[in-house]
Amino acid sequence: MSVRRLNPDQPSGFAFSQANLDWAYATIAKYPAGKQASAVIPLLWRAQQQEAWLTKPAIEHVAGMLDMAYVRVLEVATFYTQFQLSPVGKVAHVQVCGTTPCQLRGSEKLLSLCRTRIAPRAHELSADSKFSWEEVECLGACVNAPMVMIDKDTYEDLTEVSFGALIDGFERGTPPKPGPQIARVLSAPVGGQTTLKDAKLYDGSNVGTWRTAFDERERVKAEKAAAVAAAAAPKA
Amino acid sequence: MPKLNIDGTDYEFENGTPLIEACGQVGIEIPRFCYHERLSIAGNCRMCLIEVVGGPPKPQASCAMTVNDLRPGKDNAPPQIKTNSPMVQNARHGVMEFLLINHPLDCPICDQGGECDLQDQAMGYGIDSSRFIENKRAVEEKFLGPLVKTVMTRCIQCTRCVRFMTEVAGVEEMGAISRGEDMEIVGTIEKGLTSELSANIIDLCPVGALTSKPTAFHARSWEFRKTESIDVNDALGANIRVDARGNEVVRVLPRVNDAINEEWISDKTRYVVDGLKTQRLDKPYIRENGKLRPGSWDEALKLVAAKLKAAGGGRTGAIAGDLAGVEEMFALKDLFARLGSTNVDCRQDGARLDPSLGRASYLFSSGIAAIEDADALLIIGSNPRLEAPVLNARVRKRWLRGGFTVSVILENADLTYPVQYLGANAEGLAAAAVQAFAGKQKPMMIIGGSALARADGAAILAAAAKVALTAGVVKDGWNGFNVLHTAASRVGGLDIGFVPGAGGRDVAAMLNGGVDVLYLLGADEIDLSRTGKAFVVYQGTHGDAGAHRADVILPGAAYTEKFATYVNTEGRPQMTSRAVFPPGDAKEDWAILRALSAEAGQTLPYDNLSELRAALYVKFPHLAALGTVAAHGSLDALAHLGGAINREPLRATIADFYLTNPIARASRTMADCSRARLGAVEPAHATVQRLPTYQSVGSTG
Amino acid sequence: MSLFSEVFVWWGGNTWGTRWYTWRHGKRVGEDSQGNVYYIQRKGIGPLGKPRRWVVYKSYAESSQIPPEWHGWMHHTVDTLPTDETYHPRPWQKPHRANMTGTPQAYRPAGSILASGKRAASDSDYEPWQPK
Repeated sequence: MSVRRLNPDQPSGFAFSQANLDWAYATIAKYPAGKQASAVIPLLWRAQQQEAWLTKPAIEHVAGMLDMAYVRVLEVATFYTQFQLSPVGKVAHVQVCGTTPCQLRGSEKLLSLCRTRIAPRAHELSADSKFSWEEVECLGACVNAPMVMIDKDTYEDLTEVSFGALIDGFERGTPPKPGPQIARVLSAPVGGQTTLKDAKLYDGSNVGTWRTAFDERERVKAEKAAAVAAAAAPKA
Repeated sequence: MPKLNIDGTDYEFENGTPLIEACGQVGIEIPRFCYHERLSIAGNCRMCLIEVVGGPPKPQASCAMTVNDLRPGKDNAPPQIKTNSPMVQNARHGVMEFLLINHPLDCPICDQGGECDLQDQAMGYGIDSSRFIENKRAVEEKFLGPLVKTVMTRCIQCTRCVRFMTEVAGVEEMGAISRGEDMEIVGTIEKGLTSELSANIIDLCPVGALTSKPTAFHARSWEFRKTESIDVNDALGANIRVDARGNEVVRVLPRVNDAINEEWISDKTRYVVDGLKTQRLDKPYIRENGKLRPGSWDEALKLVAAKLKAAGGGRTGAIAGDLAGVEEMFALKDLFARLGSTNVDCRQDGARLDPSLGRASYLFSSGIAAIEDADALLIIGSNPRLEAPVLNARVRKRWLRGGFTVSVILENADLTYPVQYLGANAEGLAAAAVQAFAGKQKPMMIIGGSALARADGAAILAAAAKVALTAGVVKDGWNGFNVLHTAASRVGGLDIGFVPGAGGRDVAAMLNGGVDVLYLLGADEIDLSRTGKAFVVYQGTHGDAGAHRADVILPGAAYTEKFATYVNTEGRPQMTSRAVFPPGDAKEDWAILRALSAEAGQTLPYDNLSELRAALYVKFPHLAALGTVAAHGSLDALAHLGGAINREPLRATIADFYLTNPIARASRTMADCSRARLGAVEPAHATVQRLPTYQSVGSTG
Repeated sequence: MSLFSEVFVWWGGNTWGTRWYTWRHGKRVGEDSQGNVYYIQRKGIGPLGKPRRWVVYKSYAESSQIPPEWHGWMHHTVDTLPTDETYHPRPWQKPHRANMTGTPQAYRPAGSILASGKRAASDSDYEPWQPK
């Protein structure tokens, strides 16, 4: 966490594009009359997507649209770290996961690459203003650690090399496909399956195996009980 | 009604009582920071933790749980809570230790020291030491205007100030940004807070984060001599406590009176007192050859007496100002009656109120607390936000509860709640009232100075009374016909008949050469250029307009310096108490008039305040019943008055909330507020720190 | 102090007992700017479990005249003698002064009638109105 403040340099105004405006009104209409303030997070998010970061005029604009006090919207915008309050890279804002699984799998190497290739400190723009980075908490792709998130896409199973290539790709305008950056299908095991490989599992021959074994065990148990009873009966 | 066992004893409580209140009612104190009975419940300080027996195995916040929320025990035994068990004590120790982690231990240099909730509760419920050895956090100061000083590092994020500004004051200008350890309270208006009630957050702040800027580093809470008194800056008669040190009034705090001000006071009430130290009239002055020179009491009184006698009864007149107490008005009226003059008037703004029509015609009849029972309100010619901010907060409180409509005939001002604006023209008043009150059970009308202080004021009042009688505003068990005064002296003056008698002249007639000797009892808000050649005697406290025009100045005592009765707009007599002595040679006002009467050969028959009051109470027995409202009769006489209402729009009477009386105009703090509000310049001595223009301090994880 | 005054006006200063003790056990370690002489126990340990440290005042025995550098040594806060230290006072540091309370040089707050005999401004003062 950090102290979150609005950027000192703010643009003079903000207006939703026509498409976003239509979308915003549709979103507001989803909530009951008088509860339009519920739309504050979607609207702020759309404003951020439009401008890449959340400007003060945008916060004021959203407050005006939702009939909320400016400070109420400011509270929301400063509460969630996903809202970027200062300018981010024009091409990509890289969110590097630094939580334990990713850290164990080498996210610190990705972070040091960010420091050398993008900017020495988080939330700073690179020299060409194309990139910025920050370290974030778990983004829920621990199986494919380490990973980064750019816009709404995740890039997983990164190494220093593939992460460098990723940045290069964004710089060229040809970003790689989101998902694992190694030969891997989604979260499936690397290098293909290692378990459940027995063909019998799939040909139907295993159907009922467990039941048969269970019945056998029960039968043995019952036989033993009968033998014990038979041994005890003559004495009585 | 739910039963509850607290610490082993069974009690019964009203439905919906929060546990913290329930414990308070039976005399068990629960420590708290964020909970306040007049604000919404936040539950974020965690200081009020208690143990619910058989409940969850963890302490519960007693503010956020009511007596109805608990399940009964075995055999329907009442639910049990413990307020002093080891679990509770441990919880309190822990919470206190957490609160103190980021709190600077700078009590010796903190203005809250000595009256600090955190200090007291750390002593009462905390432990002796902290295990925290890391760095404490520091928070930037915020600019909240000329009244509220911030030391935000001391803030414990109880959010009482945010809730007060949002809920009671009705201006959403404070909030809590960021979260967790980085949460900060901010104000978002660069000029500072734009509420007339903003300084109440100083009282609400349980720590020293918000303290009083005008009196910063000025005094310690234990040095004060505390005097319970009444405010006179508006006609509400808010209950206050005057804190004085030596012969200086340092500050004013509210006292709780649910019938009038709950526990709020306006910024003017609170900070006008520095005006009591400036521009004071401290000796008699006599005008000689066009110049005022200091004179002795003897000299001044002899001169005034001679002038009064020479002019003769009909050619003398007296005007009482907005801050005059009942006692001195009574003595002044008595004196002028003995001199044969009926030219007395307490309505310096020219309000067309006639006490002969009965008390019901000029009182806030329903009472202030009854606003909370009303279901519709029509405001005619009044801006309650400026004329009586605390009353306006009460209207807002009612509006927040829902099922309440407010319509306004005046200017379209921001009253902190939505209103239906009916234009500024009083002509269609009757139709507007019928429309606004249709289908309402307890409709209410507030008629203010803008409607009364004009030539057709009586007609507007009569029309309002007429529609009130027909539209159900006045009926059995409900009287919603309310006049909102702005002058503290007004109702008292009307009650004792300080208005022109038969053939007497009113203010307007006295001004235009109607009298040869004009006696001003603290009257400054009249057009003194129209006094002409009259010999003007000014008895008052401050060198304001009246003193500049006066031929003789008799220095009197301000409201903190005398025992005087004031009747508030509801008709509730209350008494001020002397906190300090009048400066220099100044004397209490009734005593000046008594001395003058002796010089004039018409000695008033009372030698001390008790005898004066005895005489007053014989004539006006309802004034003896301090703090209660006497019955006020019917409106019929007023309703039958009739008269034509002209088309002229109603105009606001208060241009600048902060500068309405001589004391306020002498006050530097009020001048700062006025400047800050009008946005002309920011007060030079204020630390200006604006928000939000900060560097984003980045670091995550 | 002379032996004569130590015998006959022994209060408020060095006594002949101290002189005897100092002669028997003391090792002189230094002298401060006021002329007070500091001693340390030559052998053995004092009541604190360490060699005892003491001062023989030049004149009246008033402990606040011990300057801060010697104060630290006297109270066993430091063991380094100030004379062995390389500390140089900053230009803004004022020379040490003993507590003057009870003497004519005592501090008198503004407005004290003992200071100048003139009443100082008070919070209770008011600004009277002056006619123009």
